[in-house]
Amino acid sequence: MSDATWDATIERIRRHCRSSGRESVEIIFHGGEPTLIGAARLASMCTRARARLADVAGLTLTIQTNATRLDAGWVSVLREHEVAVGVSLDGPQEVNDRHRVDRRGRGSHERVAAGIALLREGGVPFAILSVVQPGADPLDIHHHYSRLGCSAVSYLLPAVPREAVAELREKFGPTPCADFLIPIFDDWWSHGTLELQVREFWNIGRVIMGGKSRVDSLGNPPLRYVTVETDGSIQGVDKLRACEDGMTSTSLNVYDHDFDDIARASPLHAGVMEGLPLPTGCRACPEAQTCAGGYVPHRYSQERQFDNPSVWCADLLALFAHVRMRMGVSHEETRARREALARPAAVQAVSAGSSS
Amino acid sequence: MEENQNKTVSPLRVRDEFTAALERELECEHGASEVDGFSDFTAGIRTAQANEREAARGAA
Repeated sequence: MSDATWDATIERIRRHCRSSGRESVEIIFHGGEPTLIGAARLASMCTRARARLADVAGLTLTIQTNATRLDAGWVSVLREHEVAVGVSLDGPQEVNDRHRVDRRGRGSHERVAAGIALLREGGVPFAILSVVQPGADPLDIHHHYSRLGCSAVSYLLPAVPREAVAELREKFGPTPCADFLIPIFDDWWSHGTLELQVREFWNIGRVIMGGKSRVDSLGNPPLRYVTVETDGSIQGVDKLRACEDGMTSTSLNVYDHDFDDIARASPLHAGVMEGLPLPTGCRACPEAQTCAGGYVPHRYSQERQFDNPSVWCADLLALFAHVRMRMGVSHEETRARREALARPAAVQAVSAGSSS
Repeated sequence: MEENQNKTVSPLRVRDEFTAALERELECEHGASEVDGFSDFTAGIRTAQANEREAARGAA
């Protein structure tokens, strides 16, 4: 991304914060592999972003990297500019290197581990982003992450087509992802500490306790973010790319358009950013307000668009049931807690109405 | 002395602290004073559930 495109992006963010009243914004550098731009370049981009946005919004900077190119210079920049780090990894060497290979077919684990060691030595906290590996040994993977010293782990359900999900079920049983995650939950529950957060478990706990999810894979939240490509084009939520080619495309760019324009670019983008209705098939589910259909891309089919429960519905229900059992929280208690937490907002709304 | 210091920094176990940590987090987000009764109400439900379990055990 050129300096001009970056600066135009920052100006659009500034305008958006001012017009919307938004008080916080997160910029995530991801790719491809964002470290390809070089540490000095990222430092310059962070400096310019903080300088232009400081008076309009709190700014969180995050980089999602495979960590293979990190060196002392990178670690220094990440620490100095307070960039939160997420490392993509799929397990110990024998698991990770089955999927994550470079152009020469070499597995990446050794270099990822070296990058992580540099982060630790430099005192830069990092989270690990990992895709659930049906059939693999979950505790082997989780303990590996724990030993690497991460502060948080995210276990993402695989983004695979519906027919591939059926194949996975045939091979590994009806709930392959729950079968992977539940042993990790139990291990974390009995032997883990609050110092290592497993984001999916933490957020399942939050919604079970009546709160709102902080991850977009639960609770059917509006997906209020956009992707800016290196050429300045504005894309819809990039995670929908897995649904269909071209789904995220718009004719917008940061030179000519505001981010708000994306909601007018198509009904799909408007729906995703403003919040999709709960899938019809989820409405009678006891987890309708907590799981709420799961991750939006996992709901997609060509026939019914996003009006489907998640392809991982059975896994999610099994996981929710297990967490509820461990926490001792019934559906009734969740409802009661939601009502208790919603009460102040209702009182405020009445007050605002009566004073106008 | 050293043993005491170790005790004070010992990490919080998930099983023992997860629910309480989430309760604190949610109360903090909503302003503790604004959700008066949140914990009390929950405690009531927990007591009711415990009584129900006891009763079921007794009946068995």
